[in-house]
Amino acid sequence: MKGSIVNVKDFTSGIAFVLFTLLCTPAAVAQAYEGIVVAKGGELAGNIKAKGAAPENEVHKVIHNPEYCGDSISEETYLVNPENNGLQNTVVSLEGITKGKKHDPATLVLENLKCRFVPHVLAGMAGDSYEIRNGDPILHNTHLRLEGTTILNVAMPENGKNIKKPLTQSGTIGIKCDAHPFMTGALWVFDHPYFAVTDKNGEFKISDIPPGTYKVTIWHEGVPIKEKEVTIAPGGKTNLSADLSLK
Amino acid sequence: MPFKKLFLSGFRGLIILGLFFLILPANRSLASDGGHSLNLTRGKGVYERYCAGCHGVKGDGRGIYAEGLNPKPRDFTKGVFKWTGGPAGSMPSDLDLMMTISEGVNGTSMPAWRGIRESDRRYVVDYIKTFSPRFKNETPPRATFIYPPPPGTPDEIDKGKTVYEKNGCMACHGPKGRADGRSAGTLTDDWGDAILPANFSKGVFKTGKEEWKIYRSIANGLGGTPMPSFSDQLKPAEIWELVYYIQSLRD
Repeated sequence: MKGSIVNVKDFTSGIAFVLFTLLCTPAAVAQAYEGIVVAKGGELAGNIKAKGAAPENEVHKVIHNPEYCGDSISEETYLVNPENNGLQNTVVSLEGITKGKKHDPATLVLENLKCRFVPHVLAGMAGDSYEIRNGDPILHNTHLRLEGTTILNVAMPENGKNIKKPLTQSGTIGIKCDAHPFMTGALWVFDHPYFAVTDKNGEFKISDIPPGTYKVTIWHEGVPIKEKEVTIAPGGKTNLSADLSLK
Repeated sequence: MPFKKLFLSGFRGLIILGLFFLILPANRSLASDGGHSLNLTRGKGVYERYCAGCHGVKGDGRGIYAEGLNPKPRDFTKGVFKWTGGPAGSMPSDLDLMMTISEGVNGTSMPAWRGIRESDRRYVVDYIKTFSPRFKNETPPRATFIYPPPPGTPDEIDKGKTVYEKNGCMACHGPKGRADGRSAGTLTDDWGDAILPANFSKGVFKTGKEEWKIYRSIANGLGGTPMPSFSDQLKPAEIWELVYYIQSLRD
């Protein structure tokens, strides 16, 4: 042992020392979400509707790849069900919740399909993954901007590979295809699993909410963000419905 | 083993372990390299003397000479950069920033700053990183590996043409690389400003003529611009074929 620079025993106990120190250090991230068993969780469900007639979606002339995408294509900003006025793609979420139901990491699929992003609006939790696919026989690119700043921009050529990446940060991610600028979408990333995107009837459901009073955020891309307050009773069902004025 | 002895041997092991950690990230951050230490005061001084005229005192790209410059000087507050070791949208390493400062940006108003001392350029890198919180919250990924170039035969150029056409490069760069693709006029960057695709017929590349840099731009894309990364979609050989084909498009 004498004369050798690295003493193996010293080295091992050094590692033990470091591990011990690390274990004793309180977690640096105080705001991290904690998954627990929610006793007598409540449910928040409801219906988001468009107030009055929906504005026309903007129609774009297709400059690149009209042979495949068609001569013109309309945006999907306002998807209102004519039968019940239900407003699709509204993101409903609770605010400031740091402890609640466990969340199994999910993979959100974002497909380039017929010159549109499908789905047009997605929501997930930090720690989830997303997978980008291209079902079209042309080059798309999927450009993600978190609060306006590029975080990813991948080429999606014909017969290309699917691209799977983790969602590391919470925030709003704008989705765009630069090759076809009319192709847009949005991806919301939360620090907790209490969120939902409305379906084609404008309906949503968020379950297993620890009882309490919460601020709820209602977002739709064509409307200024709305906030409401709800109280979740133990084991109860709370209804939250809203009529959004789209003009 | 008495506690004191355990502690001491543990401590000695810790120092040895610490040395390993010192060595490992040395090529990642210039701050731990070759005697360079952080000196933000000096960095600020050098920045305000040489850089602020265009990039602005606050690093927002709004210096007194910024108006009328095309392309506009980089706004550092967004923390997004064209030339990074990893794919578009990832953080640049100190070395990436150092390279852009030292070599300048070909065909733009950004000169090569090799004329100022290397230590000062390093201080400026450290100072530029204070303008965006992204540098605190995110770390640069491992740099994309650039495979050694094949010889660049006429056959490879031909294959490059196929790669170019099959992968939709002409959408922006145009069928002959003249920046006249159908989507060329609709492109915008992270600031919402119009941006043009590279025109290969001129044979001028912002990063200079070095082939590995053209390879890198195709593999990683250019952060904050519409140019996406192709490294997940193309094989290294195909990227090299593209590089040779693109070079052959020069008038």
